[in-house]
This record gives sequence, C-alpha cells and structure tokens, in this order.
Amino acid sequence: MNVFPVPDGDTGSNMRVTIENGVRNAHSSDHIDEYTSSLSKGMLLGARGNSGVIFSQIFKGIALALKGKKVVTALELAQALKRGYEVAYSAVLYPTEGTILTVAREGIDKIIDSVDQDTSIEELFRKYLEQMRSTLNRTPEILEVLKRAEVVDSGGMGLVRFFEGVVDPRSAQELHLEGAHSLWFPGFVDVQDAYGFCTEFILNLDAPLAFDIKKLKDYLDACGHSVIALQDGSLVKVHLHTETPLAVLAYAQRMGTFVNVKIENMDAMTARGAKPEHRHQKPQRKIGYIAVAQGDGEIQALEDLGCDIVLNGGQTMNTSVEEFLGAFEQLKSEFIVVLPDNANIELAAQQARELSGREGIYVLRTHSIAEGYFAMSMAVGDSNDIDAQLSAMKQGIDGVITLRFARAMKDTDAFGLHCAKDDYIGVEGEKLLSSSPDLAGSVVCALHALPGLEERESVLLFRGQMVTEDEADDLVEQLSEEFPELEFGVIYGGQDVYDLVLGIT
Amino acid sequence: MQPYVILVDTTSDLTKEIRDRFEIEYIRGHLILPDGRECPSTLEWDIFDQKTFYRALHKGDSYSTSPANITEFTAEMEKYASQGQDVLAISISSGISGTYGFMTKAAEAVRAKYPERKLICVDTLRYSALMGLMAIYASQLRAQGKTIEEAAQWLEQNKNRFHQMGWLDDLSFVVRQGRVTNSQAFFGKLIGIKPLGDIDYNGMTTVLGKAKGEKAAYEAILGYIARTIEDPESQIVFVAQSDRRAQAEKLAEKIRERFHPSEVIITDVFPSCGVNIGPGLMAAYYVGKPISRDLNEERAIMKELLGG
Repeated sequence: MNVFPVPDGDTGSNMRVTIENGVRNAHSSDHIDEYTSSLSKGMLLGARGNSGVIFSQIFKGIALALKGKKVVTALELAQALKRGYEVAYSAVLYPTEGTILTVAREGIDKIIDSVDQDTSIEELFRKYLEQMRSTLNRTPEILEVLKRAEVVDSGGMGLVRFFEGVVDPRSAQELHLEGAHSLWFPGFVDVQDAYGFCTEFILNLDAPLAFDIKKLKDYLDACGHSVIALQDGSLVKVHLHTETPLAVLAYAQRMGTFVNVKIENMDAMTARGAKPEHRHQKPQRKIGYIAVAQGDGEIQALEDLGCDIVLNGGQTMNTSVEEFLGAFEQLKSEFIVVLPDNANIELAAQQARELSGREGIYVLRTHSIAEGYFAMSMAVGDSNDIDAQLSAMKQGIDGVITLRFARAMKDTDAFGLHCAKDDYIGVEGEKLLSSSPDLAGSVVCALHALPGLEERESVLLFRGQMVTEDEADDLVEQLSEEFPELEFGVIYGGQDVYDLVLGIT
Repeated sequence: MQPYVILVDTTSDLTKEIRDRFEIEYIRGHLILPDGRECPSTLEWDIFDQKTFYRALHKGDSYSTSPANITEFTAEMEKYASQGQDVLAISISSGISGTYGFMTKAAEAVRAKYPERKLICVDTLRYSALMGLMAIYASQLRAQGKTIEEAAQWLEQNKNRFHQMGWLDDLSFVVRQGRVTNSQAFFGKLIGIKPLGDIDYNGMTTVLGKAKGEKAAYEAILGYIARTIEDPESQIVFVAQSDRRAQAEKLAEKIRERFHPSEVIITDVFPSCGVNIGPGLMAAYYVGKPISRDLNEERAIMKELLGG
C-alpha cells in the first residue's frame, strides 16, 4: 500500500507492468549494453504510474552508463547503479526523500567505497540489496506521511523486491499476496529497535495508605514506555513495555503481593508476523475519541471512524471507572470525547471524568452502538475545533432511534403483544414493538410500529454473530422492497447479545 | 487549425461531444483490468458501460489506472509541434498524480527539439470535470483571441476559483485510494450521512461538514453554492456523478431553478478518475470566490448552513 504522494494500492502492479514491458522489449545479447538499452527502452515506453516512471528512469541511467560495453565489472556496474539514481532524480519535478529515490541513492552511495576490482557481481548486488533494505526501513523516519501510516515507502519496497529476485530468483516464489499487512516481514524489523516485554500485573499493597503512585510511575517511566499505573484502594494495576520486566517485578514486590502477572515477549510476537502496534507512535490529535462497544465488528467500525480507543462494554460487561481512567491516561489529546453505549456506562464515564481531574473531557449521551456510530459519522476527520465537533456529533445522535432484536427467553405478554419462547422480539428501549418466529418479520413489524417513519431516510443494521452475511443481505433486500423510501445498510457488529441492532435516522 | 492545441488527459472526464464542441484534444492513459490485462483508458464507455464498471468497483473488483508516461506525453506533444502547433497542456492536480511532472518533462524534451514552439503546462490543482471545466474556459479564451500565454496565465491566476460542492456516498472507497484529506477518520461506510467537500488550496478534496440525510445535503449544497458562486448566469456548471445519475439530475434541476446558469451539463466520471473515486460521487463544479488558504471561510459557511 503506497501512501506517498497519495495512498493507493497500485504501486506493485504499476512497477510489475513497467518491468514486464521492459523484459518483453529486451533482447538477449552478448553485449550488456544492447540488453540494458532495449530493456530500458521497453520500460520507458511501458512505464506506469509514478513509481513505474522512476523505475524506468533508473534503468535509463543504467543503460546510459553501460553504453558501448560488452561485459562489465562490479566497479562499472556500481557506477551504472549510481547513474541510474541520478537520472531518476533529474526526471522528477520535485524529488522527495524517503521514497524509491532515497532507497536507490543510498543503496549504492553507502556501499560504493567498499566495491573494488576484486568484488564479484553477486557480492555487489548483495551489498546493494542489504543497504537498500536498511534505507527502506528508515523511510518512515524521513517522510512524515509514511510514519503516520506506519508503512515503508512502497516504491522503495518494489525496488527492493526486484533486486531480491536478482540476488535469489527462488525468493520470487515465496511472495505473500495478503495485502498491506504482508509488508511487515520479519526481515524488515530492525533488531536495534526492539519492543521488549509487555508487562502487566496487579499488586495487593501492604500499606495502601502510605503508597506513593507518583513515585512508582516515575520509576516505571524510567524503565520503559506505554506506562499505565492505576490505584484502586489496596490494589495497583500496572502496564508497561520494558526490556527489564524482572527488575520491575522485583521493585514492585517490595510493596506488596502479586495478584497476577503477565509478561509477553513483543519481539517474538513481531517475528511471528504480528503487527507491531507500538512501533511508531501515532502523532496525537488535538481531540481524542474513546468509545465503548460490545462486538468485534462494532469495535472495528468505531475504530474505522476514528476512535482512538474502543473499550469492551455493553449490556453484560459494563465498562468500569478504572478502565476509563486508564484510557484517559493513554490519550495525550487536549480534548477527549467519550461515547458510552448505555446509560450505566455513561455514568461510569462521568465519574471517571470527575476523578481524573482533567479538563477537556466530554461525555456524550450515546446509549447504543447506533448512536455512537452516527455521532462518529458526523465528526469531521482531524478537525481541531472541539465546539464544532461536539455540535456535529450531537447532531448525529439527535433523533436516532435504536431498535434491538433478540430471541425471547420465555413465553410472555407485554405491550399488547404475545411472545413465544424463541420468537424474535424487537424492542425500543424498554418498549416491546414486535414479536415473530421470523427475524425479518419482527423487523418489518417493528419498523411499521414506529411513528413518523415517513420522515426517516436511513436504517443501519448492526449484524450480530448469530446472523450470517447472506441472511443480512436477504433481509436488506426484503426491507428495501417493503420500505422503498428508506436507505438500508449493514455493518458486521459481531455482538453476541442481540441478533440485530438497528439505528434509524 | 486552432492557434494552439489544448491538451488534456483522461482525468478531465470530458465526453467526445464536449471535446468536439470546444475543440479540446486528449491523450489516453492505461487501465489494468481485474484479470490483469492491460487496456487503454479512454473517455468512452467502450469496454464496459458506466453501471457495470461502478458495480464491479463496489463489489471490490480490482482495477488500477495510470496516466500516460513521459515518453507518451513527449510523443503526443511532438506530434503537434512537428506540425507547427503550440500546445497548452492542462494537468490533473499535482497533489494527487504525477501527471504534471511527466507533462513538464515531456514539454522540456519537445522544446529542446523544436525551440520555436511554445509548450506550456498548467497544473490545475483540480481533477475530473472540474479540471475539464478549466479546459473549457481555456477554449473560450482561445476563441476570444487570447494567446497561449494569456490563456495559461488566466488559468494559473484563477484556478483557485474553481469549486466543487457535493457528496460522496461511501468514503471508504476514496480513502483507500487516498484522494481525500483528513482521511484518517473516514474508513467507515456512512449510511445516511453525506460528507460534503470542496477542494483545498493544494488541490485535495476536503470534507467541510456532513449533512444528515439527502434532503439536508441538497439544501447545504445549494446554500454553499449560493454563498460562493460568482456570476452564475454566465457560467456552464457541471454536475459530475459516478453511478448516481438520478441524484445528479435532481441537483442539476435544483441548480437551474435557483441560479439560472447558461448551461448545466451532467457528466460521467470515466475510469481514470473513477478507479480512484469509486461509486457515489455527486458534485457540482463551478467558478466562484477564491478559496481561502486554510478553507476556514468555507468551513464557516458550511458550519452555518448545517446549523452548527
């Protein structure tokens, strides 16, 4: 996935097409200049996209340097690689460091002094490749947009992949095709940039009244990063990333008894291909967003809309004051907007806000995933205007109706309706609106029961774990026919309490 | 023969009818189909129709597009230069494509070979039919007898007055493709919420606010146009759409009723832009007040219109 100059997904295909066009045009010869000349001509004619054009210009430079040569030494080839990046730089209107240009330039400039008459071609390419890999790893440190997106430059990656094929053609068969996450190859992790151990524990303090949490935090800050330390009566909960977990435990043990301890080797996690979440600290926005949701899909949806932290909560697992305090601690934003997903959680969030003593925390009155979703939907990206954002988000919540559908646990009569056990019941708050053995039937009845439906425009369905994608698509088709004036959309919510949660606006 | 050629590429989204009417030339780009085959990217629905294309994109079929490269631009410009014609080449925003760079390098190469010829490149900082609209203004200036330098200068001095106002149904597509700023928060598919965007000073689409529901969105669009358009009755207004023809026709009608422009033309978004915008674009393109550097004025207008 390329992020510079704009994020898109076509760098790989553009570079592939470019080199394929080159190879199609190239003709083998005893003279290297004939081969590189025909290769570069094909690439120039068939160059695609920014990275493809730069790639072709690199080979144009190589071809120019090798003109008239039949065979070349490693020294001459090194000079050609140098000429390659020089031509590429001159072809770009505004050359930018941290891209394929830097990878190509440093790849040869940093090793050229080590190339002499005894260096073999294979050795030259191995050194070139190794240096390019190192520079590629550094590209996020050179180009801010790469750092924010937590990716290396994709054009540079393409160049590295190409020369990996040159050095070892067998490596081309091991190419991952999984998408952006496959960028995080173990080989690209810089061993000097280790993450350490994710260390968490709960300590039962011997002398809670005499305990100084600030002193503990100061100690922990000196040992590592991503430090959270919370005291709740006689208990202290600690989380940090550190190279010296045992030293931290030994220090803590002087103050009490461990209730539980967890230590995880984050370097090993990275080596297994897990995404290193804390590799690059995201720049903190002026306004941070903390939400609460119950299903994995709901959590993902809110993160996709820009929530920095989504706590697990909901009807059966109410988020605690402590968890909110921990989330506030993690976010260094000037303002924090909190989106609870029921009235109890709103209360906990308000209490946490008061206990934190921190200014600039706002708790919205969102009591469902639907309200939270519409609130975040109305927020404007990276806006720093807290008043405008709050106003927009409140507009999002305003007038949203939430309906929830689940199976009845037993036979019951309420609100003039009879529900049989296992019927799908539809409720709005405490009010029963529908009951039917068939989910679609229950949804249709519940919608018809809503006053003022003709004023509404959109219905968003959060699909729970019990409803398949096909079932949801069929349901939407049925609903679209029954209510042609409404727009329906489905999001996978993953909640396990309700089959469906509907947000109507 | 015209005094100079006006050259655009497939990101201008100008149909043959419009190009013929205003005598604008274009250079084809490249399109890679989901099965990996490559074909030319054009301003015709020749391989597939618009609906089929956007349904495929919505389903997740992978197309990719690239502009003409330096060599191709050089050949195209040389074609005109060798016939004794000057070329005014109009490019999509340099903020979202490398085309301006390719065009500029190509012009340098052709000037070196034909030093008596004038080849001028303009970075519109715009895309799609908004860039196409700028080419139409260039054509009108040419028809008024303006020289190539005068036409280019007018475009450079006035490009910041070319506005976009409309919505995208599904920002997740365009965010994946990266053609919108403040993108970090917009991966979600927005049901019922219409993000409304204009172009910023650097040529990137920027969401100014969001309307809840279509009715509120149309009102906000018309209100924003009213506050930013200049001399509407003398203008051609484009309404561009990617698989949203019904909504575009509704907006076009409302614009005709409210502003009485000389013409409202509904345009399609062809694959070169379409691959990056995706289905769901519905926007009006027109000329108005200069866009403020941080979009603060425009944000304030939208905030007021949306009741913030």
